[in-house]
Amino acid sequence: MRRKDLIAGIIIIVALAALFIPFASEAPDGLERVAGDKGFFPSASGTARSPFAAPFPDYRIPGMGDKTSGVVSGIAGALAMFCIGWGIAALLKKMRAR
Amino acid sequence: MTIVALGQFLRMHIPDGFLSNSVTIAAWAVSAGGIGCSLRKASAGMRDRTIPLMGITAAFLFSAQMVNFPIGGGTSGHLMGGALAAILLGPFAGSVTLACVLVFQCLLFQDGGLTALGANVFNMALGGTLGGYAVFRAVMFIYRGEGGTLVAAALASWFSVVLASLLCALEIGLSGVSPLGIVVPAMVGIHGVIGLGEAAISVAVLSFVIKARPDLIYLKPVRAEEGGL
Repeated sequence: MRRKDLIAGIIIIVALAALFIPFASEAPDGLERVAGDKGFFPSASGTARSPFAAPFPDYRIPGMGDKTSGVVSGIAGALAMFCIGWGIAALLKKMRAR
Repeated sequence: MTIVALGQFLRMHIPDGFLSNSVTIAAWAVSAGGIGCSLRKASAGMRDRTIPLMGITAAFLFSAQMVNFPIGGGTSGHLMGGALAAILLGPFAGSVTLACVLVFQCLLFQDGGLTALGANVFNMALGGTLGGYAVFRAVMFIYRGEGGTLVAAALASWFSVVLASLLCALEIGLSGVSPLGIVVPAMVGIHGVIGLGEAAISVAVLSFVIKARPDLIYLKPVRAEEGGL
């Protein structure tokens, strides 16, 4: 991939995130809807809960409004995922070489 | 009231507390083995041009999954992206990519429970992604060319979401949380609609990529064109 295309790709993703995340529907998603309609809920008696809390539950960043949090999480997370995806792919390629 | 309370609990993927211990453990075991296989196969098939594209795809899946679109009836859905990733990167690199996104969402944003991560990876990164790619290849076999790619991508994307929702429903049913006869039709029905959104987004992204950089799409059927397969 040429450098120009890569930069264009990242700019497009960041722009789409900034444009669309504030307008994301807040309605329950498929699983939430079914759980609500059919009356089943996460139970404390089921599996153990996570041993630690995620730093940004529900993509909320402390001290920021919900919409801003969403956009910032979406962009920062996408940039982090770009590096992680690239890194893992490069590692897999390297492993094959050996 | 209950829905409001539920909304604070979970967002998109299976949260903690939905699955029984045995289903949780089984899903973790199958996912660990499946992702291990995917890593090996992705490593063997990794091409130079796939490396940056895997970064771009991971970034896109992460932010696109945050954009819930309304499907009517006060319900929303969002892109899963397994079929899209498999079409761009190949099935195994695609499943590794989606698994990375799910792990990242779970650890940082509590989107999907940590105990349910095995099931989420199994349903979406393995089942949805590899199943979707199988449909893509089957349709491409019949109908080649750019039109064929888009039709195949649409069907593969729709199927990937429905399959993932079926697997999720089976896990919930087997956990004894809700009877199978209720949860399976409800989940598959609603995701049959969400799958239409998945297909629309995947086709839009792919037709853009085909216009901009047609060489980026992972098409193993090179061998088929040579008369082999």
